[in-house]
Amino acid sequence: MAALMERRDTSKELFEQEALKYLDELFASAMRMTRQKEAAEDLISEVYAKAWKSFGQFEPGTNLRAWLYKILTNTYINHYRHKQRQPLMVELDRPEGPDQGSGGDLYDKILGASKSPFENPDQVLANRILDQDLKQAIESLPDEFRLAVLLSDVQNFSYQEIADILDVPIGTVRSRLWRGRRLLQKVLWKQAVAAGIVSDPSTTLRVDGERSATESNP
Amino acid sequence: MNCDEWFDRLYQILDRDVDEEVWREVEEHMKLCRPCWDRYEFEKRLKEKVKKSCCVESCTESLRLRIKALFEKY
Repeated sequence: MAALMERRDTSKELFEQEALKYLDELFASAMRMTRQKEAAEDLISEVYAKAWKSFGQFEPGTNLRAWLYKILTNTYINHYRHKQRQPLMVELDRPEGPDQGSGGDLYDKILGASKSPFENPDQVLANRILDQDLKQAIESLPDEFRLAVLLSDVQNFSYQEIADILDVPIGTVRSRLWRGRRLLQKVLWKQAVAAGIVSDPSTTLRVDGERSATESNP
Repeated sequence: MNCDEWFDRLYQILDRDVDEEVWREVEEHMKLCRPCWDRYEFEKRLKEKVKKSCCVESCTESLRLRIKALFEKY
Protein backbone atom coordinates (compact mmCIF):
# COMPACT_ATOMS: atom_id res chain seq x y z
CA MET A 1 0.00 0.00 0.00
CA ALA A 2 2.77 2.38 1.02
CA ALA A 3 4.66 1.56 -2.18
CA LEU A 4 1.53 2.22 -4.22
CA MET A 5 0.99 5.57 -2.52
CA GLU A 6 4.58 6.49 -3.14
CA ARG A 7 4.35 5.60 -6.83
CA ARG A 8 1.21 7.65 -7.17
CA ASP A 9 2.88 10.60 -5.46
CA THR A 10 5.85 10.40 -7.77
CA SER A 11 3.74 10.38 -10.91
CA LYS A 12 1.64 13.20 -9.53
CA GLU A 13 4.74 15.25 -8.84
CA LEU A 14 6.03 14.56 -12.32
CA PHE A 15 2.68 15.67 -13.65
CA GLU A 16 2.95 18.88 -11.64
CA GLN A 17 6.44 19.57 -12.99
CA GLU A 18 5.36 18.95 -16.57
CA ALA A 19 2.19 21.01 -16.29
CA LEU A 20 4.01 23.95 -14.71
CA LYS A 21 6.31 24.19 -17.75
CA TYR A 22 3.37 25.62 -19.69
CA LEU A 23 2.40 28.21 -17.08
CA ASP A 24 3.98 31.23 -18.81
CA GLU A 25 2.55 30.53 -22.25
CA LEU A 26 -0.89 29.68 -20.83
CA PHE A 27 -0.81 32.93 -18.91
CA ALA A 28 0.08 34.93 -22.04
CA SER A 29 -2.81 33.22 -23.87
CA ALA A 30 -5.14 34.03 -20.99
CA MET A 31 -4.07 37.68 -21.25
CA ARG A 32 -5.08 37.74 -24.93
CA MET A 33 -8.41 36.15 -24.04
CA THR A 34 -9.43 38.22 -21.02
CA ARG A 35 -7.37 41.34 -21.85
CA GLN A 36 -6.91 42.00 -18.11
CA LYS A 37 -4.18 40.82 -15.78
CA GLU A 38 -6.40 40.05 -12.82
CA ALA A 39 -8.95 38.14 -14.90
CA ALA A 40 -6.12 36.24 -16.62
CA GLU A 41 -4.67 35.23 -13.24
CA ASP A 42 -8.04 34.02 -11.98
CA LEU A 43 -8.60 32.11 -15.21
CA ILE A 44 -5.20 30.41 -14.98
CA SER A 45 -5.75 29.46 -11.32
CA GLU A 46 -9.03 27.88 -12.29
CA VAL A 47 -7.38 26.01 -15.16
CA TYR A 48 -4.68 24.55 -12.91
CA ALA A 49 -7.18 23.71 -10.16
CA LYS A 50 -9.12 21.72 -12.77
CA ALA A 51 -5.95 20.12 -14.07
CA TRP A 52 -4.86 19.05 -10.57
CA LYS A 53 -8.35 17.70 -9.83
CA SER A 54 -8.61 15.76 -13.05
CA PHE A 55 -5.07 14.42 -12.95
CA GLY A 56 -6.54 10.91 -12.84
CA GLN A 57 -8.26 11.47 -16.20
CA PHE A 58 -5.11 12.47 -17.97
CA GLU A 59 -3.65 9.61 -19.98
CA PRO A 60 0.14 9.55 -19.72
CA GLY A 61 1.80 9.71 -23.11
CA THR A 62 -0.94 11.88 -24.62
CA ASN A 63 -0.45 15.56 -25.32
CA LEU A 64 -0.42 17.36 -21.94
CA ARG A 65 0.00 20.77 -23.53
CA ALA A 66 -3.07 20.34 -25.78
CA TRP A 67 -5.02 18.97 -22.79
CA LEU A 68 -4.20 22.11 -20.74
CA TYR A 69 -5.25 24.35 -23.65
CA LYS A 70 -8.52 22.48 -23.90
CA ILE A 71 -9.18 23.18 -20.22
CA LEU A 72 -8.16 26.81 -20.76
CA THR A 73 -10.46 27.45 -23.72
CA ASN A 74 -13.39 25.59 -22.15
CA THR A 75 -13.04 27.48 -18.89
CA TYR A 76 -12.76 30.77 -20.72
CA ILE A 77 -15.75 30.12 -22.97
CA ASN A 78 -17.97 28.84 -20.15
CA HIS A 79 -17.13 31.19 -17.32
CA TYR A 80 -15.28 34.24 -18.47
CA ARG A 81 -16.34 35.59 -21.76
CA HIS A 82 -19.84 36.51 -20.57
CA LYS A 83 -18.32 38.64 -17.84
CA GLN A 84 -16.02 40.38 -20.26
CA ARG A 85 -16.76 43.51 -22.17
CA GLN A 86 -17.73 42.96 -25.78
CA PRO A 87 -15.07 42.80 -28.49
CA LEU A 88 -13.58 46.22 -29.06
CA MET A 89 -14.56 46.49 -32.70
CA VAL A 90 -17.95 44.85 -32.97
CA GLU A 91 -18.89 47.29 -35.68
CA LEU A 92 -16.60 45.52 -38.13
CA ASP A 93 -18.40 43.59 -40.82
CA ARG A 94 -18.19 39.86 -40.68
CA PRO A 95 -15.35 38.97 -43.02
CA GLU A 96 -16.01 37.14 -46.24
CA GLY A 97 -15.28 33.48 -46.91
CA PRO A 98 -12.46 31.96 -48.97
CA ASP A 99 -14.53 31.96 -52.14
CA GLN A 100 -14.76 35.71 -52.33
CA GLY A 101 -11.46 36.70 -53.83
CA SER A 102 -8.53 38.58 -52.42
CA GLY A 103 -9.95 42.11 -52.22
CA GLY A 104 -9.51 43.74 -48.85
CA ASP A 105 -6.29 42.05 -47.80
CA LEU A 106 -3.66 44.03 -45.97
CA TYR A 107 -1.01 43.05 -48.51
CA ASP A 108 -2.99 44.28 -51.53
CA LYS A 109 -4.07 47.40 -49.71
CA ILE A 110 -0.54 48.36 -48.72
CA LEU A 111 0.63 47.69 -52.27
CA GLY A 112 -1.99 50.13 -53.47
CA ALA A 113 -1.39 52.75 -50.81
CA SER A 114 2.27 52.89 -49.91
CA LYS A 115 3.62 54.20 -53.20
CA SER A 116 4.48 57.64 -51.89
CA PRO A 117 6.61 56.59 -48.90
CA PHE A 118 8.39 54.09 -51.23
CA GLU A 119 7.74 51.21 -48.92
CA ASN A 120 6.65 47.71 -49.86
CA PRO A 121 4.26 45.67 -47.69
CA ASP A 122 7.11 43.76 -46.03
CA GLN A 123 8.80 47.00 -44.98
CA VAL A 124 5.56 48.45 -43.67
CA LEU A 125 4.98 45.27 -41.69
CA ALA A 126 8.55 45.15 -40.35
CA ASN A 127 9.03 48.83 -39.56
CA ARG A 128 5.66 50.47 -39.09
CA ILE A 129 3.35 47.93 -37.50
CA LEU A 130 4.42 47.58 -33.89
CA ASP A 131 3.95 44.60 -31.60
CA GLN A 132 1.58 46.71 -29.55
CA ASP A 133 -0.61 47.32 -32.63
CA LEU A 134 -0.78 43.61 -33.34
CA LYS A 135 -1.65 42.73 -29.77
CA GLN A 136 -4.41 45.31 -29.79
CA ALA A 137 -5.73 44.06 -33.15
CA ILE A 138 -5.83 40.46 -31.95
CA GLU A 139 -7.59 41.40 -28.75
CA SER A 140 -10.26 43.17 -30.80
CA LEU A 141 -11.28 40.01 -32.69
CA PRO A 142 -14.48 38.21 -31.72
CA ASP A 143 -13.79 35.15 -29.53
CA GLU A 144 -14.36 32.41 -32.09
CA PHE A 145 -11.76 33.90 -34.46
CA ARG A 146 -9.36 35.06 -31.77
CA LEU A 147 -9.10 31.61 -30.22
CA ALA A 148 -8.42 29.97 -33.59
CA VAL A 149 -5.75 32.53 -34.51
CA LEU A 150 -4.09 32.29 -31.08
CA LEU A 151 -4.00 28.50 -31.13
CA SER A 152 -2.56 28.42 -34.64
CA ASP A 153 -0.30 31.45 -35.02
CA VAL A 154 0.86 31.84 -31.44
CA GLN A 155 0.77 28.30 -30.06
CA ASN A 156 1.53 26.43 -33.31
CA PHE A 157 -1.11 23.75 -32.84
CA SER A 158 -2.04 21.74 -35.94
CA TYR A 159 -5.53 22.03 -37.41
CA GLN A 160 -6.43 18.64 -35.95
CA GLU A 161 -5.23 19.66 -32.48
CA ILE A 162 -7.20 22.92 -32.69
CA ALA A 163 -10.28 20.96 -33.76
CA ASP A 164 -9.85 18.74 -30.68
CA ILE A 165 -9.22 21.67 -28.34
CA LEU A 166 -12.23 23.67 -29.55
CA ASP A 167 -14.36 20.60 -30.12
CA VAL A 168 -15.33 21.59 -33.67
CA PRO A 169 -14.82 19.88 -37.06
CA ILE A 170 -11.54 20.55 -38.86
CA GLY A 171 -13.40 22.42 -41.63
CA THR A 172 -14.62 24.89 -39.01
CA VAL A 173 -11.02 25.43 -37.89
CA ARG A 174 -10.01 26.23 -41.48
CA SER A 175 -12.83 28.68 -42.00
CA ARG A 176 -12.34 30.40 -38.63
CA LEU A 177 -8.65 30.82 -39.35
CA TRP A 178 -9.37 32.19 -42.79
CA ARG A 179 -11.94 34.64 -41.53
CA GLY A 180 -9.99 35.47 -38.37
CA ARG A 181 -6.84 36.36 -40.28
CA ARG A 182 -8.76 38.39 -42.83
CA LEU A 183 -10.48 40.26 -40.03
CA LEU A 184 -7.16 40.81 -38.27
CA GLN A 185 -5.75 42.33 -41.47
CA LYS A 186 -8.76 44.57 -41.76
CA VAL A 187 -8.20 45.85 -38.22
CA LEU A 188 -4.47 46.36 -38.87
CA TRP A 189 -5.31 48.32 -42.02
CA LYS A 190 -7.72 50.57 -40.12
CA GLN A 191 -5.09 51.14 -37.44
CA ALA A 192 -2.45 51.96 -40.06
CA VAL A 193 -4.74 54.46 -41.79
CA ALA A 194 -5.67 56.05 -38.44
CA ALA A 195 -1.98 56.32 -37.50
CA GLY A 196 -1.15 57.94 -40.84
CA ILE A 197 1.21 55.11 -41.85
CA VAL A 198 -0.65 54.66 -45.13
CA SER A 199 -3.29 56.72 -46.85
CA ASP A 200 -6.50 54.97 -47.81
CA PRO A 201 -6.90 55.25 -51.62
CA SER A 202 -10.66 54.79 -51.36
CA THR A 203 -10.95 58.04 -49.38
CA THR A 204 -8.37 59.98 -51.36
CA LEU A 205 -8.93 61.50 -54.78
CA ARG A 206 -6.32 60.05 -57.08
CA VAL A 207 -5.30 61.10 -60.55
CA ASP A 208 -4.79 57.49 -61.60
CA GLY A 209 -8.09 56.52 -60.02
CA GLU A 210 -8.36 53.13 -61.73
CA ARG A 211 -7.49 51.00 -58.73
CA SER A 212 -9.54 52.95 -56.22
CA ALA A 213 -12.49 52.95 -58.58
CA THR A 214 -12.42 49.15 -58.86
CA GLU A 215 -12.01 48.86 -55.11
CA SER A 216 -14.97 51.02 -54.32
CA ASN A 217 -17.21 49.15 -56.79
CA PRO A 218 -16.74 45.48 -55.96
CA MET B 1 -1.83 25.04 -60.04
CA ASN B 2 -2.85 28.58 -61.03
CA CYS B 3 -2.88 31.71 -58.83
CA ASP B 4 -6.55 31.38 -57.88
CA GLU B 5 -6.14 27.76 -56.81
CA TRP B 6 -3.04 28.78 -54.91
CA PHE B 7 -4.80 31.66 -53.19
CA ASP B 8 -7.77 29.49 -52.15
CA ARG B 9 -5.29 27.39 -50.17
CA LEU B 10 -3.16 30.26 -48.91
CA TYR B 11 -3.61 29.61 -45.20
CA GLN B 12 -3.50 25.85 -45.51
CA ILE B 13 -0.20 26.31 -47.33
CA LEU B 14 1.04 28.68 -44.65
CA ASP B 15 0.09 26.21 -41.92
CA ARG B 16 1.31 23.19 -43.93
CA ASP B 17 -2.15 21.66 -43.83
CA VAL B 18 -1.71 20.12 -47.30
CA ASP B 19 -0.46 16.70 -48.35
CA GLU B 20 2.90 16.18 -50.00
CA GLU B 21 1.59 16.06 -53.53
CA VAL B 22 -0.20 19.39 -53.16
CA TRP B 23 2.83 20.86 -51.41
CA ARG B 24 4.98 19.98 -54.44
CA GLU B 25 2.52 21.78 -56.72
CA VAL B 26 2.54 24.73 -54.36
CA GLU B 27 6.32 24.96 -54.41
CA GLU B 28 6.37 24.61 -58.18
CA HIS B 29 3.85 27.44 -58.51
CA MET B 30 5.76 29.73 -56.18
CA LYS B 31 9.02 29.14 -58.04
CA LEU B 32 7.39 30.48 -61.18
CA CYS B 33 5.10 33.15 -59.76
CA ARG B 34 6.77 36.08 -58.03
CA PRO B 35 3.56 37.81 -56.84
CA CYS B 36 2.36 34.63 -55.09
CA TRP B 37 5.82 34.13 -53.59
CA ASP B 38 5.86 37.73 -52.29
CA ARG B 39 2.42 37.27 -50.89
CA TYR B 40 3.41 34.05 -49.15
CA GLU B 41 6.46 35.71 -47.59
CA PHE B 42 4.31 38.58 -46.32
CA GLU B 43 1.76 36.24 -44.73
CA LYS B 44 4.56 34.18 -43.17
CA ARG B 45 6.15 37.29 -41.65
CA LEU B 46 2.80 38.50 -40.36
CA LYS B 47 2.20 35.13 -38.72
CA GLU B 48 5.66 35.26 -37.08
CA LYS B 49 5.01 38.79 -35.89
CA VAL B 50 1.66 37.80 -34.38
CA LYS B 51 3.43 35.08 -32.43
CA LYS B 52 6.19 37.38 -31.24
CA SER B 53 3.81 40.12 -30.13
CA CYS B 54 1.57 37.75 -28.18
CA CYS B 55 4.14 35.86 -26.11
CA VAL B 56 5.36 38.79 -24.07
CA GLU B 57 3.95 38.29 -20.61
CA SER B 58 5.29 35.85 -18.05
CA CYS B 59 3.26 34.69 -15.12
CA THR B 60 4.06 36.50 -11.87
CA GLU B 61 5.78 34.78 -8.97
CA SER B 62 2.68 35.27 -6.82
CA LEU B 63 0.50 33.43 -9.34
CA ARG B 64 3.06 30.62 -9.53
CA LEU B 65 2.94 30.25 -5.75
CA ARG B 66 -0.87 30.36 -5.79
CA ILE B 67 -0.94 27.51 -8.30
CA LYS B 68 1.59 25.44 -6.39
CA ALA B 69 -0.50 25.94 -3.24
CA LEU B 70 -3.55 24.71 -5.16
CA PHE B 71 -1.62 21.61 -6.08
CA GLU B 72 -1.05 20.81 -2.41
CA LYS B 73 -4.81 20.94 -1.86
CA TYR B 74 -5.69 18.25 -4.37
